[in-house]
Amino acid sequence: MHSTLHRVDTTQLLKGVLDLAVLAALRDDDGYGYDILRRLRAAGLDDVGDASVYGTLRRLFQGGFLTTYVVPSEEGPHRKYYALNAAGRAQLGSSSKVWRTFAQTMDRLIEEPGVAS
Amino acid sequence: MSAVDVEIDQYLSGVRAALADLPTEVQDDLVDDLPAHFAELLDEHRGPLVERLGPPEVYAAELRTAAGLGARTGTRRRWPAVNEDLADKAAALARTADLKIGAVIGYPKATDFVRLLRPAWWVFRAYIVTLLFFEVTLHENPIYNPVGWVVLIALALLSVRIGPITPRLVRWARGPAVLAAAVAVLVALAASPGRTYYQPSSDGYSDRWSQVTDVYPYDKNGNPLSDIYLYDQNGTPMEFGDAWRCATEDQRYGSQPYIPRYPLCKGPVMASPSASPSTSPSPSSSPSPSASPSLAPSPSPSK
Repeated sequence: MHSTLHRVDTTQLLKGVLDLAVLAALRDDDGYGYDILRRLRAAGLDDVGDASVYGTLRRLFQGGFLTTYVVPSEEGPHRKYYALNAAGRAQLGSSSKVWRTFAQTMDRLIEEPGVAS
Repeated sequence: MSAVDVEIDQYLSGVRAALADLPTEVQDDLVDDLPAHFAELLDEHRGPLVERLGPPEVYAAELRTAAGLGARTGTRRRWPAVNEDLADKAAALARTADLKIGAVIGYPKATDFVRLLRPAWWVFRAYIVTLLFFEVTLHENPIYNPVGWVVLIALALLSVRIGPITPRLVRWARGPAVLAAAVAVLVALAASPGRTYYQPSSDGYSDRWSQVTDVYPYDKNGNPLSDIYLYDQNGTPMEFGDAWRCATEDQRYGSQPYIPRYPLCKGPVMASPSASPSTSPSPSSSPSPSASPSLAPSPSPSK
């Protein structure tokens, strides 16, 4: 067995929290795929993959957390907008809590020695 | 179609190809948003999509992982029981065999040679269809019927003209189609002309006589004959049933080669003549096979 030592990088971290990130990006406004991608990047998640966002959107939709509607566009093909439904908002709430707890735990763990204890 | 559309189409078909093992609805669902997205990307920034997004296969892999569909297995996801590792090993083994067999028959790969045989299959499948049709409707083999030949030639021409069918079928129908073809071949082989005609066995009598266990010769007056030697056109003694059944000790173990004489056994199995077969050992006729006199038995029955 090869040793599987993962250097911590944002791509790895993103895998676990992409659902939460996408739900959060839809909290205030509905959006289509590229919209959401732009919001995530604008928020600082530069490493977020194009296809990852679309795949995540599909999974969340299949999971019943999102609704969709189609908006015809004047130029080019129509756009599929995604919106949070009640289940999506509930999921966003609970996932946010889990994340905060986890982030705080990690913060405490990696704080400078001496400061902890 | 604009250059942009072509670019989008090409990239999209690359993505779709990498998703080909998934059910069609899932594929459609996964790529639904992508044309609009790609169009927007190209709107912002001219240049190949591959530069922006990486190879379509990688894009597809990311898409399906994020969608929670798991990595491509090479087989259909419907059979998740297939161990991925095992499937990989089997595939590697098949590739090696392909190359090794190819080397033996002088082709880069065995499948290269098999591919050359495809036109032969197109003709053969026409034969199968004709054969099955004639067997089912007329219970006869088309090659013994002039109409059969006409149908066969017409179907063969059509079949060759159509060429490969499998790629034209929708994905789910391909497996069943190949299976149906395999079954048809087996049925056709079972129904092939060789079935009804037994090859004469090496010792010269045909299967038609396999039910005969003894022979009761009579002369024209209805008198039973005994100790009759029977020879075929080659001068080979004919044996029916178990020719040793009623052989005497002497015949069994004597120095003379045993040639069966009929009737082999004295039996009351007579149908028409009222007289029961005489048991007297007097031979009424001595055989003189012209073909092979060397095999002629000594006419003296005294042993």
